[in-house]
Amino acid sequence: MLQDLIPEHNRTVDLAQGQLVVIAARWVLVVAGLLLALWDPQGMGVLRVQIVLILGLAVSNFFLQGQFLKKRPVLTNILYGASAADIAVISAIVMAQGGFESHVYVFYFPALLAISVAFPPFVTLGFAASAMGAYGLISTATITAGDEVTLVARLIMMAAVAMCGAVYQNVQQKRWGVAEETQTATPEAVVDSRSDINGQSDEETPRESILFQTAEGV
Amino acid sequence: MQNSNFAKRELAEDIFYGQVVINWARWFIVAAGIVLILWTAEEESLAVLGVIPVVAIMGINFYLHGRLLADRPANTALVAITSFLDLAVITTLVLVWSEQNGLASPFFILYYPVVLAFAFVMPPKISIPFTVVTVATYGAACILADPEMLNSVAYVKALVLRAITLGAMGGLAAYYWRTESGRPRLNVRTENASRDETTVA
Repeated sequence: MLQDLIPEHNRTVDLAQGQLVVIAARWVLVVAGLLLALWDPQGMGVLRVQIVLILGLAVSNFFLQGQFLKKRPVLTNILYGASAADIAVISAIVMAQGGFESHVYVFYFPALLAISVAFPPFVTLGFAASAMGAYGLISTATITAGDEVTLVARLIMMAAVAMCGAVYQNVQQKRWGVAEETQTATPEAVVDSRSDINGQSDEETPRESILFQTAEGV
Repeated sequence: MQNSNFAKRELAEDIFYGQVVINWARWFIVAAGIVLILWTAEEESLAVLGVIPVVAIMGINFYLHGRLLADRPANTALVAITSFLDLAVITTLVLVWSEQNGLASPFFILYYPVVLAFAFVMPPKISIPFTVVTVATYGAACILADPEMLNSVAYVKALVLRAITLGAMGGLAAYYWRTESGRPRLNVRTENASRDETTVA
């Protein structure tokens, strides 16, 4: 089962595909964050922190969007830095709003989703661990007795989102890799290679026939 | 005709290869659900009652993940039905669990992986309505549990924040699904098909 997460060593993740999702997720964060910050603000100090951080994110995202529109190559380090900034900004806003009591932690979910489809699994693991660690520390410092279980459940869900994205990206990478090999392979080789996508071998039943059974609702 | 066959094949492949994501998401839901139920229940009877739906989800996942491992993956209808079951179980827990129900319920976070995994696997024409239904169901459950919440700006703001992020999960996953399905592989297949068609003709 864990093979769902292990990428093949000769395949690289297509950052250009994932970059779009990272940019889109950040626009969601900027627009929703700004809207919610301006609607019934929680004091001048918190409002200042929120607006400065959110507008900073908007400017950096505009830069990345511009790079994409100009069809410039993906700047991997900048993409990593911007994703780290997303996690930092969400953590800072959660902290400014009182830690565990803040509702803003739900922004971690789309941020981790974008990271998990854009970057290789080990990078996703690093970002997810950082986000969970940051939120765990902030919450532990501000939590009231009895809420620890809720915190654990939230952390499990953050891990779930990162895991789902990484598994999906890995399955897709293997699938596209097989499709590329298909261009030059014989039909028999195609059927054999497809049987390895989900990490299972299948010598008895051609995977293609199972696929069509799935399509026809068997 | 040829394009329709390719579209069918693409859909079948998405479900065939992608449903492992739904299985993984459901295992996390089971883990978080068990933690929340066992450590927030104040009476034994309540814990027993709460564990039953989570065990049901677990049973469904054993069946589906087992089928996948045995090379008998679920079809579109079964994947959709089980995802709606997940949605129903989570909504029931949000509505009736303990004193912390409605907007105060900690169970709402279980919606996130359900919506995400479903949108990764299903085409947007199915996953986007599913996301909308999930958001609407959660909103309705919150209002039903405590109609007075509509009078509080802070509560409404929290609900809107959750609705936006939940919608974003479905939307972003559907967007990624679209970018993935638009990759060159489809063109390669189409070109190959045209070539085969020409050869047969």
